[in-house]
Amino acid sequence: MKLKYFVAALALATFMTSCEDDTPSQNPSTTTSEVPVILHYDFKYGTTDFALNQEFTSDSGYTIRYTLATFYLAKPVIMDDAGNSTALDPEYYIIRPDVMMSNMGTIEAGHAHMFNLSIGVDAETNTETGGNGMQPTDFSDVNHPLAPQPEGMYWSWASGYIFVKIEGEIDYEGDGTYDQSFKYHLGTDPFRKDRSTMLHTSVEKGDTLDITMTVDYQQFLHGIDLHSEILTMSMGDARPLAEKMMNQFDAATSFELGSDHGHKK
Amino acid sequence: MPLPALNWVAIMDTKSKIELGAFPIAKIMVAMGMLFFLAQACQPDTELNIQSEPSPVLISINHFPEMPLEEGKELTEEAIAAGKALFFDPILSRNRDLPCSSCHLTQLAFSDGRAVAIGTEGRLHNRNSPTLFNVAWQPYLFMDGGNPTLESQVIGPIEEHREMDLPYSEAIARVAAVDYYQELFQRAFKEDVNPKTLALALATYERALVSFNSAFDRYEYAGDASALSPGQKRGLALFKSAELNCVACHVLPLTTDFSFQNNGLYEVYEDPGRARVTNNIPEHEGQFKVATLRNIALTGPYMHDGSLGSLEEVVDHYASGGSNHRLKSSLITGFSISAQEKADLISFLEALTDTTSYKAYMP
Repeated sequence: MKLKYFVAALALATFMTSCEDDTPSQNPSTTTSEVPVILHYDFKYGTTDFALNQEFTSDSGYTIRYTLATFYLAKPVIMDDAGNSTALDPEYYIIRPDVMMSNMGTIEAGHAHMFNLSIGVDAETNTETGGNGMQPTDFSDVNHPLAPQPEGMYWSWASGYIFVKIEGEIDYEGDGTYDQSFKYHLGTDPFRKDRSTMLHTSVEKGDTLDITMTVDYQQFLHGIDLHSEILTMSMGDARPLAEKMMNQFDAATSFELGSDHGHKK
Repeated sequence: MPLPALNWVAIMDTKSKIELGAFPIAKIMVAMGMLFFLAQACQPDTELNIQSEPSPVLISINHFPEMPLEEGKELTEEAIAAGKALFFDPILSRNRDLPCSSCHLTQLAFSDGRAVAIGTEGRLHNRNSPTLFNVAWQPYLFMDGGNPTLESQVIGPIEEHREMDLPYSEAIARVAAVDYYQELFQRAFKEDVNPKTLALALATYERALVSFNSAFDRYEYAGDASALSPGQKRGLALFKSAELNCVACHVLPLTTDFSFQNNGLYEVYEDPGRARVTNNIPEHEGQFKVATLRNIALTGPYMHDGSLGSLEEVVDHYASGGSNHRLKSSLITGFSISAQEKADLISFLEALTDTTSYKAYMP
């Protein structure tokens, strides 16, 4: 008799345990209907892989090297074909050439129609001309993307984030000596670039939504006079050059569905 | 290493009914001395006890507007102590050679006596070091108003190439590596040294730098008719007069309305002033925030670039009406002033010096 009770209890326990597997998890990352979104990065110099401190040849035949190439991405959103948007999390990303990918949270399985995000920091968060917003000194967590960064991605004198900070050196004669530096510190609200990419894909349970951002740093300098257009902090007389270089960066940047790392849907 | 002494004492508490007018200066000094003694005596034990709550500090000056303080930025003895320790420590400069106090000297009312600031490795700034007294009331920081809070402006001098030239992230790492500072910060904020607390510590110390006890204050707000000399009284009358109209911008009692004005210093400005931070809005060219005149006798040279070496030159500038810059303030029209009147006016400006305050902040 006792054996019957034991077998019944065991069966009940087995039944209950098996039911637990079907119970939706409170952790969004493990909810079965949610699909991870991953943004991959592909940094190029023309057809060559890009890296800091590596020598490249400019369109004018000069030897150049980039010493800094850091930028912000903000507020990524996936829209379905009904126009409903899912804000991805986290909201802010600081991207350097050694970053391979960013995990951007999850969306519900279904149709992913559009991918939107900003190159730069949104106006609500970016503080300018003494206005309200966020500053690096608002953050206790040193790892937050908007906290102080080693390369200094914030202008305290004008209280705003630097959206794109690119620096490098030019060897005009090809004699192995760098003759000139270039510095493009690009920011302020009017220069932020809001990008939309058509995805038009369906994602199902078990899928990953992979998107790739490509930045071509040769294209970034295409048509730029590396004698006269070499320095801007987005202020004063050099403000037009900042606008031009932000447009150059925008033009050098593309987004497409899929990745080169084998996760293509 | 012992924790620092809280040797700042310039507290006026309305709740305790300490009225400036009721106290001749000697009594105020005695009271301050007692407060100083008490502050020293009430130092927390050197043994770290992060369970204790920071001790709140109220700075309430009867004849000043209420100090603007956002939630979470309240003054405490511990936060002031942490900020003060940092302010006088060269740890925040690239070469560990320049503390904040190298450009903001206590004996010069937290200015430096130079035309323009000199940063690390002798690099010259393009602007004069301003006094830090009463910065708590400033609605925006820097001469062009480009920064909204005392906390966020902290990054400016630390990272600026011509000042301390240290990435703020590195400053945090340096300070966080010092046990002494970690103790101070735990006491003050119950948090480690981080981007927020480091800025808050320095900002809190700066908010505590108040100056309110000049001869002018005692005369104007405490009813002490003998506080000003006859010449200083004539100078005050000129200061307020419709012809000179200094008070149009140098509004009492803070002696500034914090507006941005082009005061006609130049016909062509090398430094665009506020236009630098407002994306070159042409109307902002050559505009700078109206400076406080408190302790003005200690804070020369004058103007944004320190180009006027004396108060005589300053008065001469305004009397002349300045340059013909197209954006010059309509308030700068010039005036005639006799030699005696000029001496009286300058004598009055000297009466805005408050030595009792700055002595309280000596390290």
